[in-house]
Amino acid sequence: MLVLSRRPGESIAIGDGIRVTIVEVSGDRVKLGIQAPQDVVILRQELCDAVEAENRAARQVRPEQVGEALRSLRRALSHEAAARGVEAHDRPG
Amino acid sequence: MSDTLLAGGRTLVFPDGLVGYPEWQRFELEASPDGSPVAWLQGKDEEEACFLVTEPALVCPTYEVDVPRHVRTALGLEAKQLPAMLCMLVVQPEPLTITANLLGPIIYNPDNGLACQVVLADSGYPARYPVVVTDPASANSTSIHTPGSRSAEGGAAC
Repeated sequence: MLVLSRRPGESIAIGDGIRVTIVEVSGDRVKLGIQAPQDVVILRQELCDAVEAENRAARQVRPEQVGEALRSLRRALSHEAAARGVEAHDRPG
Repeated sequence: MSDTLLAGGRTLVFPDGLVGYPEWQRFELEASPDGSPVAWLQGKDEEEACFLVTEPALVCPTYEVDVPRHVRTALGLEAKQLPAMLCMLVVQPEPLTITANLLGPIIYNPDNGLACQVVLADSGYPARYPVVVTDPASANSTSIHTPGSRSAEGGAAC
C-alpha cells in the first residue's frame, strides 16, 4: 500500500480526474474531499463489507431448510400488506 | 407487479457479479414452489450460489432507491424506464430470524435481464432489516415487523 503524508488543504491525484483533498484533521478524524467522475463509485468501506457479509450469509440459506421460515415470512408479508391497507384507509392520500 | 417479478423463469446477468463475488454473474430467477412471495436466485455456473430474494417494497413499503445514472446506463435503462428491484433474505433457523438486505439491493432491467447489486451510499437502509424475529426469551414468540418499524442498526424507517 502506498502511504503518503499530507497536510490539511493538500491533495493527491489518482489517475485522470480523481482528486482527494484533506479538508480537515480533528483528533482521530480526517475529513476528505473527493472529486471524481460521476461513474466512479465512492463508498464507505464498511457499507461494502456489510453487503458482502450479507451475501455470504444469504448463500447459506438452503431451499430444504426454509419451510418453516417461508410460512413465517408469508405471515409477515401478508401482515405487512394488511397494515398497508389499514394505513391507506386511515390516512387517505 | 409482485407476481411478475417473483414469477421466475427469467435469466439475470450481472456483468460485475455480486458484491464480494465478481465471478457470480449468471443467475436464474425461480419462483417459490409453494407460492410464497419470494423467489430463488440460482447461480447458473455455480450451484452454491443460491439466494432467497423478495421485492423490497413488500418488506418496506416506503423503500425508495435513487438509481445512479451510471447504473442506469450500464443496465441499458431508458430515460423514464423503471428498473425492477429485489433484495436478498437471510434466514437464521434457531431462533428463527429473517432479515432483508435493503442496503445492497439487486436492480435489473426487466427488458434485457441485465442486473447489478448496488451498495446504497447514504441511504440509511440497513443490511439486516428485520422481517421476522423470534424472541428467545418468550418461548417461540415470533414477532413481525410492520411499516414504521425501525431497524436495530438505525436505518431508515419503512
